[in-house]
Amino acid sequence: MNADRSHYAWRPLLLDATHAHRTGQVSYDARGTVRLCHEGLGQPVQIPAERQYPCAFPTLLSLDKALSNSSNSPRMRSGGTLREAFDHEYQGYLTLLSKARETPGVWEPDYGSYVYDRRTGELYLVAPEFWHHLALLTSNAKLLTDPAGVLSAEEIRDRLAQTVVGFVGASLGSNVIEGVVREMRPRVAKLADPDYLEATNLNRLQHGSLRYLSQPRACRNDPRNGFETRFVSKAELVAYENQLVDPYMCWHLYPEGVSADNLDRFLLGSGTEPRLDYVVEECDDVRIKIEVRRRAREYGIPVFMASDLGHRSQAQLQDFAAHPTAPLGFQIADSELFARLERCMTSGVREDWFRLASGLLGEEFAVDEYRNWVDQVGEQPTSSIPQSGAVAQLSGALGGKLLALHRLGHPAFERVIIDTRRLRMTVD
Amino acid sequence: MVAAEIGMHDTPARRAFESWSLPLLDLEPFGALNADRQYRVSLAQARYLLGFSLLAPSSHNTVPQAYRLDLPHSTIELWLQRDRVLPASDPTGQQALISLGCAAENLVLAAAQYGIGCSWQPDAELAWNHVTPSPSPLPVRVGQLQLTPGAPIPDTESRHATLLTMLERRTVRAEFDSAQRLPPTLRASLDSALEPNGPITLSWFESPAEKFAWSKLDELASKHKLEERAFQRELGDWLLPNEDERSPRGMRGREFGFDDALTRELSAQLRGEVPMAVDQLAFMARAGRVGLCSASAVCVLSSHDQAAATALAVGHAFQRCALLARALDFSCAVHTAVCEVPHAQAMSQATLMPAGMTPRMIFRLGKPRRTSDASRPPSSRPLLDDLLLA
Repeated sequence: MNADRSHYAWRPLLLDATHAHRTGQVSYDARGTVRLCHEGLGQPVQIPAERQYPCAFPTLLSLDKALSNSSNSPRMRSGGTLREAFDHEYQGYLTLLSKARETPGVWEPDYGSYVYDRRTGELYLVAPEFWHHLALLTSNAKLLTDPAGVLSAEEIRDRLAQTVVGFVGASLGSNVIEGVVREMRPRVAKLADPDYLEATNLNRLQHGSLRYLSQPRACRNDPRNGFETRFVSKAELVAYENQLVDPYMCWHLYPEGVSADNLDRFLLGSGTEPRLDYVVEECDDVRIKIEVRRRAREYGIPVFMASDLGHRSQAQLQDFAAHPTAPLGFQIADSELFARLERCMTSGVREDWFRLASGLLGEEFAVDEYRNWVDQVGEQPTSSIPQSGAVAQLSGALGGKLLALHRLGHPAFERVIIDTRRLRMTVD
Repeated sequence: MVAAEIGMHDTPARRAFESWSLPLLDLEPFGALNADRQYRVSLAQARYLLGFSLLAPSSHNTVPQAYRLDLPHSTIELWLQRDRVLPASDPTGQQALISLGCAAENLVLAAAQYGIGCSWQPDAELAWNHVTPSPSPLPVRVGQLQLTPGAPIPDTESRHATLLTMLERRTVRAEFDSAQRLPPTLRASLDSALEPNGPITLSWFESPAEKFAWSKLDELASKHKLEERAFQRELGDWLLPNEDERSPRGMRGREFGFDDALTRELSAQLRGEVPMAVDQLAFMARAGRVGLCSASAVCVLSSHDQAAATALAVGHAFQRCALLARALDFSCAVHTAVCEVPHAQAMSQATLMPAGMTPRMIFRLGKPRRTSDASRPPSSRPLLDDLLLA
């Protein structure tokens, strides 16, 4: 693994369009085929028009529709309104676009960024970072505010954008990622998961699809060997798909997972890798679950965990920054939690796993059909813990909302349970 | 010196565990076992050395070997009892042959401590169809060991340490301490354990990503195997109650860290006598994954060829590695599923192994997370007399 964990095989390449045109990194022939040169590619690549996606204009078109010039258009630090800033940008872009069209041999103006998808060989041209991010967030309007209501839209956006969240586990975790990026649109995130995508993950893994059940046949040493399945890292596919939504976002990946050895770096950062403001713990390794909490508490980093428990979505935020002596588990002493952990790992007794789970989730975490699975009542088709795809989505949504609100100063609830079967909510 | 004197108080004082009470003889008393000098190696000496052979591990603790002594020619023949080969767990007999290789390696090593060279010659005509499970009580000869006194004699300290290592070795089916790394001395020992151009290659994997890849494949293979009814029943039959102090073969639950109640329940569940939770088998397969991920290294013995005799060589190599590890206070546990489930083996060949190599045995090295796990009671053994052929 490179020291810089933001580099991985599928990471889309990001090139400033002006620089790319001037240096010849991106050039067009008469038929519009792009020749792309980049140190990350080795040889130059040819990208025909069929694989080019000019997205800057549609992005600005969409913003033109969404942004208002009314008197309550958000005020920028520069003094003008957001709409005024957009109008200035948009007019400039439209002028560039017209000029480009009139200039022989010019296919695109010096504007925005090229994004090259190394996995598919596709080239995107996207709006500059500020406007691209704005497009991704503008529909959220100003639904997220600080408790006192004093922060401007720009200040709120900055605070959320500067939040660094680290995700441990990318299955259910991908739903929390989706919630977080849709609500907060952070510039930097970290993701750790040692596992690869399996077909049985597809009911809950955001962005999972047939594309990722296996690497292409060409990756095999022997293309005809059907046993040579090259799997796809969950961490890489989730980061990759997210960077195709926001190519400006930086993901630091831990595809080997977090362990005692690298957990400090994951939490505290190193070099260009920042310290976390929150860690979202969604892994299935029970030792790591507890070690993440233990060290996060030591370093004063809040821990969020969403759980899909049958029909119930449960969200827990342990604010170790505000409460540095809070227990690691849910309303049990650390000593008891550690004792349960050791029993779980050594006894071989099934019930000890559930005792540990209740130490993290709270007693009576299993009800209704989920309880039936725990108690082995009735037909049970799966040997792994049942996980509802819809509840996974809800858990991710809760994660995005609760973390954004907490980041803006709203109080943390120790535990929120939404029972989708009874349409009831419980807050601790 | 006997087991109790060297601190092995964990060994039950029952007949089925008598093998572990082998005394560590100095040169003189060993020589005294051949007072009449009728043969170069006497019956008493051969029996003593075979005591160490008997301590070697075997698949499911089936102890499938038998011995025939030919003292006039200073040879010990090694035979396979095909009725001890487990039909569901070991349908090809590969695990049984590996077990015999382990037994032979211990014999070679023990003999060397007394200046007896011991060369192993597998039978040239040994073939897979000779070693598959069979109800026939007739054993199959797999090879012989030629004993040649007069080889260099290790010093007392070295001899004591080597023999003690064989007595102390256990298969430790427990979570290891993932913070432990293979020490350079153990790496060097493992590097030199196998002939450079021999039929067997040892690879070891230490990075978290490599260990995860092997552990995940092991989990898939184990779950697949555990879903076979015949395998479940067989495993249930071979999982013995902790209080069983008589059976000379089989695995007590305590060897896995199970208490009495769990052992009885799990054994009955596997035999289909009581209901089993739908996640029980997945839970067992996951335990293997936890074990492999927690190891200092996942080790793979592989070969180019698939010959039956190579399985014996794998056993030799494994036992050598296990003892080298034990000498440095490292424990060992075997994970057979990937080698026994054909599609998992094919996947490992295609994605985890060097080209052309077939994994024949997978084991992990490390130190138990709980030190007490390293001293779990050993498995039982039959009496040597029951394994000697006329």
